[in-house]
Amino acid sequence: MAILWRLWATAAGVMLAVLLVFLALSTFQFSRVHSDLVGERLIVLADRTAAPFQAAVRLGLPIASVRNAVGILERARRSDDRISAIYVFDREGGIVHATLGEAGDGPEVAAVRARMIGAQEWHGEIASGFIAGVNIAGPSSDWAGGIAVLYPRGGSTTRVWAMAAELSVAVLGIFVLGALTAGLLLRIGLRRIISAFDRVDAAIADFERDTWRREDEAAPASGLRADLDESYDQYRSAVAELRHLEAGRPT
Amino acid sequence: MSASTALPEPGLLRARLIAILTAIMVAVVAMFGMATLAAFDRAIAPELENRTRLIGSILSSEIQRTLDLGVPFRALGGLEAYIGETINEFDEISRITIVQGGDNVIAEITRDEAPTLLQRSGLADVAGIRSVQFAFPVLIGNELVGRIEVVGSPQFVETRLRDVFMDVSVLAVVALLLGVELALVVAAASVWKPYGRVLRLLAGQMAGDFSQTIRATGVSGVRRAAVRLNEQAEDLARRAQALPPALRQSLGDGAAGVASAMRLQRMRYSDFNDVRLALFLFATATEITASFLPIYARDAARPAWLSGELSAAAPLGVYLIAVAALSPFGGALSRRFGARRAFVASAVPTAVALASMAIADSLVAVTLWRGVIGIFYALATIACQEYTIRAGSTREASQSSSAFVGMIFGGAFCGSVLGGVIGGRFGFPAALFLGALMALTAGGVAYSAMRGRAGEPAAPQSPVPQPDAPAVRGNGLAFWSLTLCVSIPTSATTAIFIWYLAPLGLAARGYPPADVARIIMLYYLASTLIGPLANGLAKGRGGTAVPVVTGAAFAGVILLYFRSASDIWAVLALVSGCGIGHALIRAPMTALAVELAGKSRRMMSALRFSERAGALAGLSASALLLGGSDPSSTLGLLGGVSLAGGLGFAIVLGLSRDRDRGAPV
Repeated sequence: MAILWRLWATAAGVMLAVLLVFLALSTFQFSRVHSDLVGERLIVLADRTAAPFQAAVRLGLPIASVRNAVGILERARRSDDRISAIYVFDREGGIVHATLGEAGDGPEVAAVRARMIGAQEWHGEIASGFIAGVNIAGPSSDWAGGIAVLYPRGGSTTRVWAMAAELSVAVLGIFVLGALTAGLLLRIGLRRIISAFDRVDAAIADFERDTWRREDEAAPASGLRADLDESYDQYRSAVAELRHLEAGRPT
Repeated sequence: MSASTALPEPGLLRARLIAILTAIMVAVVAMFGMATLAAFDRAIAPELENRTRLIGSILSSEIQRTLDLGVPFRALGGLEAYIGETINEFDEISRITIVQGGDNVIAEITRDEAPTLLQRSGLADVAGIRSVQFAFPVLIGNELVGRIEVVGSPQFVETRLRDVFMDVSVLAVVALLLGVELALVVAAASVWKPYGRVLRLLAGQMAGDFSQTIRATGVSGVRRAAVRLNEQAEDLARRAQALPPALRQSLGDGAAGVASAMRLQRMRYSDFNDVRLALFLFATATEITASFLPIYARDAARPAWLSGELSAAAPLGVYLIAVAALSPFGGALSRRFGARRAFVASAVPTAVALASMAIADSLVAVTLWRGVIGIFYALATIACQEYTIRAGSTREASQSSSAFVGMIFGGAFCGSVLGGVIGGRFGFPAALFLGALMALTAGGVAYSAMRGRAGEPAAPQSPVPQPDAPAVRGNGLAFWSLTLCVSIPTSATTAIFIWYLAPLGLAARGYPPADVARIIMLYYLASTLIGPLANGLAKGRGGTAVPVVTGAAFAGVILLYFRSASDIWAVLALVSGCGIGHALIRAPMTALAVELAGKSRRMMSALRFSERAGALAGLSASALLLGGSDPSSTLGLLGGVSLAGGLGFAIVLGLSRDRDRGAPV
């Protein structure tokens, strides 16, 4: 049975390791999916917010000249009160408009936008949250400016941890169930093999138990037991020989 | 030893463990998959609601703006086209309905979607998962004239989770193979090896030899037996040591048991299973680049005059040259320094080379380090081979060749999968660093597991036992026919198609590294699964030639049939078909080559060298001639050569055996 316990522990260990890897992979994937979803939603919002600015650019006006820009941005922010800030960039990448109370993340947002300047839509992350934006096409097919939306990360982080916690509970349940099933299957599937081990164990136990009385009472043995008896006989004859040598030596 | 106390063969335990662990892994993956889907659905619902609400509000405001201009609701033209565009643009929406008044539907578009896995299994209801639904009012002035209903798509989450499920599934297979290897190591360390030690010590003591003791390890009974037998030997040694010197000297001519006890030493027992885990981990480490090496090399900085195709093939070519160059000396080196030292010494530079590949940014560096890996791969695998041959009887050595191939291919399978998954998620350098870590782990495992006498240096003249000599004499013509017609085409196909064309072609079609790995792994998976079947076929009436010829013909037909097909299913068929065909060839081919070569070690070395040289020549020709053109002609050529080679070898073998039968004895 000892071998069964060891194999069971191995199978359970492998299962636990695999489940933990699965848990890590799933959590990582969830974090990525969630971040993409937030980014895509913010792009939709930025795209919608960009429409009035796009109209101004089409008329040949510089993007900074839109007079009610802050109002447009504040109205867009009302669609989700967790939006931290919305920025409007000019052709050179400078921030020309922002929502009220902007916390000073503008330069960082501008730097991310500058790195992804080739894309019409883009999203990424900075220390204070998710960021997504769209670029506004100018009259000569270059960018006349852009809009970026900054969204806090707090809610997303909480959701990732909540999801990881929920999955951890599931992993624990699956592990307990899987380990019990593994024990049962190993017990049934390895019956023949385990009984062969047990026979070896029994032969050794018989040998140990019968050694002291084997001269008179032990039944004739076969197999491993007979081999153990044979080795013991050899040992005893060697011991006898040593005694004989000791007894015969000159004193 | 009688049958009643004989332990079952490790093969039986392996088969049972594979069946049991497969059942458990399938159940675990299924349960985990369901739990993940349900948790994802719940966790992502708020964000999906936000998105759906935003899309609905945009839709609503657009319609509202039109109605505010005085256009009657019913007169809105092209509504269905408009909401159709919206549905196509946003995957997370499955239905948009525009309702006038109470229940007059004037436009509705529904995405055609199959029910989700959770819905089909009924778990969606149990877990309380429902599609997101919102209704937005449509107003004219202060009058409510209708509403817009938006329903979220339940398929959306499952689509986004496809990658993670694919990764989980292939990692489960990796875990299965690793779990089986670990379980076998545990079983070997607990029972087989300690029991083998006890039996060997017992055999000695039965013959009156009390010169050895053993490590008392293993499950209780075996350990107690070891302690008992050790005590017998130690007691005799103590008694003999207590004799006066004159008497001790006289023992040399007297009782064998007492005399042997004077030279008491610890037995250093070796077993085939000692190398299992180390070799498996080492093969995993070195093949961690299997699914992305051509892409990694092609994207590295290279001289302007070098084409992308040649760059992609360069590390593979240098690897093959390195393996071929070291193979003839590997055995001698391993015997000179000892298999254990050779393996451990190979693991460290392999780890360094893998880590260096991770930080290398030029093709020269990538190629150079891959060459270093090739040298030490050859040395490490040959060291393991030498160890198993010295550890077992000649019969066991012969039988172990298929298990050996199985371990290397099992490791290669795990390497290709891990490399693809880790490379796809965290970048190729992360996968290479993991490979370096695994190579070091393999070295550590080998250091502790290969402690037996078989791991020590062998005297230069000491003959290494060969597998049992065949009853028939060597057959040179058939041997060279096997080498040219089967062995070389098989390794050329592996190098050209599996290592080079398939990863490049799949990457060119836009498949990410993880997908490439999942497809390439089918080759190694087929090799791992079909290997035992090939051994079964080899034991049949036709002998080892049957699976070899069948495999060559099968791989040839598959390559010819699917050479021009361009869809992904054809690639899957090609990769797995080649895996099946080559699995039928590989393990029996070693036994067949030994049989045909007679006792000639030189011919076996020539076979190994020809394999590498053929693969290298094929790979070079392919890289030089392909130049970004359609690879179907290369695949067709490989298929034709495999098929014709298999049939040609069968004819040569048949004719030469007929000639041998007719020859006077």
